[in-house]
Amino acid sequence: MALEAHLQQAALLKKVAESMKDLCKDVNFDCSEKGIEVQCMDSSHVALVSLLLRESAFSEFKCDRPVSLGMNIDSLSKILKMTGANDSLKIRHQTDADTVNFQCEGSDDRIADFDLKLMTIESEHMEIPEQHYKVVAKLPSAEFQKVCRDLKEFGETIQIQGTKEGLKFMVQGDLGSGNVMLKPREGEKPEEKVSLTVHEPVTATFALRYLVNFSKAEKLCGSVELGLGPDAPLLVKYDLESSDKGHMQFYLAPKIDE
Amino acid sequence: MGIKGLFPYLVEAAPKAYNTSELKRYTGRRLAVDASAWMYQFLTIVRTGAAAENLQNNQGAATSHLQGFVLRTLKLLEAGVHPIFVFDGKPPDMKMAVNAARREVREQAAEEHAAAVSSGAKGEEVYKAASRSTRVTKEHGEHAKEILRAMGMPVVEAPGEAEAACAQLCIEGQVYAAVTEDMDVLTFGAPRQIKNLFDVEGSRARQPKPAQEIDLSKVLDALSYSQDQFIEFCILCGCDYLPHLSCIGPKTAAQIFQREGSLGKVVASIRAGRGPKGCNVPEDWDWKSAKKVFQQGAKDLQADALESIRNLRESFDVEGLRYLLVEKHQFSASRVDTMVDRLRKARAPGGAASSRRIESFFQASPKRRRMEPVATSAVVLLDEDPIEDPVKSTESEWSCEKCTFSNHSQLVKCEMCQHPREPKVLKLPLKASAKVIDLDDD
Repeated sequence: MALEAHLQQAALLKKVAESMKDLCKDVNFDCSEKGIEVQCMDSSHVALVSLLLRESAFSEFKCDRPVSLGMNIDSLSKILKMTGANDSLKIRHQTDADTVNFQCEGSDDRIADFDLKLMTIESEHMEIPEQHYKVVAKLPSAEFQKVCRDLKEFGETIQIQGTKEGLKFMVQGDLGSGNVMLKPREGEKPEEKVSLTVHEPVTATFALRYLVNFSKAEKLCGSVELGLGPDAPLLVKYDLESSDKGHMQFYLAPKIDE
Repeated sequence: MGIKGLFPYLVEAAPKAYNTSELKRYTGRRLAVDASAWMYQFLTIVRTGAAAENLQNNQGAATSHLQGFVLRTLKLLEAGVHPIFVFDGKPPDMKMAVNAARREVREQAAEEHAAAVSSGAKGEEVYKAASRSTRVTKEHGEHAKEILRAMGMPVVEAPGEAEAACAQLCIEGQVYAAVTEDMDVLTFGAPRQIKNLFDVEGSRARQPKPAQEIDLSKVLDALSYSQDQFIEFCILCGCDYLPHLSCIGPKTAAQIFQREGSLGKVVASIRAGRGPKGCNVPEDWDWKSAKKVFQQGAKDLQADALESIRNLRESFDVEGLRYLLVEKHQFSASRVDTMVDRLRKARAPGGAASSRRIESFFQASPKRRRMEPVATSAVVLLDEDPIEDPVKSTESEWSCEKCTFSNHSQLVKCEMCQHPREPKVLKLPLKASAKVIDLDDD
């Protein structure tokens, strides 16, 4: 067995697949002793998705040698739809086999089993250098989703401005122009807080529809981290429930500024 | 035009050298467009009325191509692509023979066209004769350049053939790829070619066909040729500069070439009667000069021509564009307003034309092959990306029965020729495969 991974909650992988499927179609799941990693770009190469599912997210994880499993995200989602809220999931792959096996088990002793055919996917791997963002913001992920959804009604392009005062989302369109300003605030739970670190004010412009897509990953974690730099891709980062299980990172290339 | 039968041959002999593609994959990229070929395409296909004439202004000058350029440029900009338009300069002397032959075909078609119109023949017949009689003049080119410049698009005048200059821009890294149907752009050394970007093939075959991106280095790998050998092979297949040899297609060409090792030896061997039956090489078949034309390409592309394209954010001139289209060429003012709006929107700060790619920030490490082949095709890109795209997908478009222009799904009349939309899409099966063969050559 080249790979054997047990996940206590199949729901985690289900959420991961759900939040990727608007951006990517066919992706390689790179498995190693570290865990499972995915990197892929949307078809226009404007956005990049980077997933790390650490071995510690699994109740059991064994990977004898690194292997890449090419899957269609929609097919994976279909399989994971069979799983119930509290089902556990086993992922297994035999060395050199052309399928990967998913087995989910519910508390009611129902066992669903599916062999998914693997695909060969040629993909480029991007080297992501360590980024030193001038603005780092943490906010409730539901709030981020609401801002994106609200503003997309008014325009296709969003400007994000990070200053000491707060994080401002601005949009211009045929109807007029508007903005939403989030100021830093305390909260009892981490997912209610808005925190902001500003080394230098930054303003950058992005295609809003991508942010709407990213923000659907809201189910993964109560809070989301945004990283902004001058002339750098925007980082939108969700922990997978908690940071020790891994993270889902989205990068979005900014538009050329005048 | 191009190399006879090369693409269908590559489909078999070098399946890894090309991928299906689509416009939105080129967001944030610069592409060199063979504008002379486009001009010919527009003038050939966009025809209207009983006599299947081009759209005209009040001076009687054709304007079909102007409309085509404006609409395609808008589609490119809205996809975030930066086109550079390359026009033919002086054709190489060796092309004279081909040009003369083409002129003859045109003149004959013009006669047929006149005869068909006066005898009241049916639409299709008239249209075909009219298309074949299409002649592209200097004036057509000048009008197109004027419009493109008003839209703020970089225009390059090739020292010779437009394909050669497109190839050179790509070799020098000024553009990502050359957009043309002519396969000889590869013979001229373009590292990447994109064909059928606007699915003219599909409109002809009445069913959508994907664009194809061809990678020259993979072509050379698959065929085990050096670029010089590839040039010789292309000449043997049949190029624009020499009469085609009878009984030789790419497959036969590859076999003889393999056996003899060089074109010089191939020619000697055919002359000695060891070629295919019935094949002979004319006395004056000057393949060495043809090879020089391909090797030379557009290496002498002027530095100032390159300089003029470096500054891609040239300003566009809305009033100038409006004047040219409405006053000079009698486009309907309301349609021009729509075009101008689209142009403004795409080129506004933060608009589609300002899109950038992740690769401008992160470096790609060399491609990794991850697994031994399991599925048959390596990359599947045909399906729609789930992200809603500002560029309408080809599925939602419909192609005009008459002029084959692909129209926005919501239009009830063709944007080009005003022909009403057919209620049902006709599907003619089995036509496609036969069609592919001659596409490179027309």
